[in-house]
Amino acid sequence: MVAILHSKYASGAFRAPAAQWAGNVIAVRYEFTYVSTSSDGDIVELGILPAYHTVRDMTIDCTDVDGGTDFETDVGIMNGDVGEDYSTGTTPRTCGAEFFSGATVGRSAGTARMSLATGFRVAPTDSDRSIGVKLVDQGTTGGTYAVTVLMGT
Amino acid sequence: MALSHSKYILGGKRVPASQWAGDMVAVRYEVTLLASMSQDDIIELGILPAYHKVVDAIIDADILDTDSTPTLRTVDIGLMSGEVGAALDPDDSSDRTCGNELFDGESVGGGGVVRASLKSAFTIDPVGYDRSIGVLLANEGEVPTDGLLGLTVYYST
Repeated sequence: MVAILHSKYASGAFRAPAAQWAGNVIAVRYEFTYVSTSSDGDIVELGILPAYHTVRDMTIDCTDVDGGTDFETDVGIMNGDVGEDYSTGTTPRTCGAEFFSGATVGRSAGTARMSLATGFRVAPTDSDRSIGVKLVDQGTTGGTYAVTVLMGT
Repeated sequence: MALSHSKYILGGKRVPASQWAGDMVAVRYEVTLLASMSQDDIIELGILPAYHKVVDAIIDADILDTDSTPTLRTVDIGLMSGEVGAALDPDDSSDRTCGNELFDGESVGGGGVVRASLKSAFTIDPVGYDRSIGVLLANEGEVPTDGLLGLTVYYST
């Protein structure tokens, strides 16, 4: 059973900032603790892309959460509404791979800069959207996984 | 050599400027790079507002050359001579030119993302007037095809 996990930004405890001026760039580093009991396909609803904003750049920084050569993640826009488990009825929300597809950072500690053209081409919409991390292939140890998002209008 | 202008240059879209000292602004410019473009053609793509300098620049490109060696299709991206929107340099009526401060002979045929890595991209001094950011087709490539060329420019005072 795929789990949808919600960060404090997604569950409302932390407020995601928005740009105050046209073109203004703001940065937020979203972080979560990855636990080795996660399963393949689990999704962490990690951050918020505010309404009318687009992503300008993104960087993953990660400790060694694997100790092997398995760990792999996608980072993208989730369907459905912020904070929810389901998109419609009992259909679990899904996570795209616009920003990172099959990222392997986390097999060892390090960083990964966004290198997909699709990451720079997410059109703004008039509602908040969730930025999710999908665990494509789980690691065997725990650790910290963070995504720094530069976004603007 | 042909010179074309983006919507930002023609006034259809507004280019933002930073509101506070040190404030950083980002704009993603986008243009369809046509297969029919010729070497040395220039697209006047964006604007670096007065008193601003470039902080970073990132290309995101579709596949623009379907040859087995697509790397031959290259662009220069930099500051243009003359005034924003003008067809010719008003000083001497010569053709406007395009520099390569941000990217020099950058291969875009294969598509993907390229980040600015030239020192000259990060050392552009501010001036008291708006300047054009241009894309010059440095090499047509082998089997060019239409595709999008995106350019995200971060700038600040």
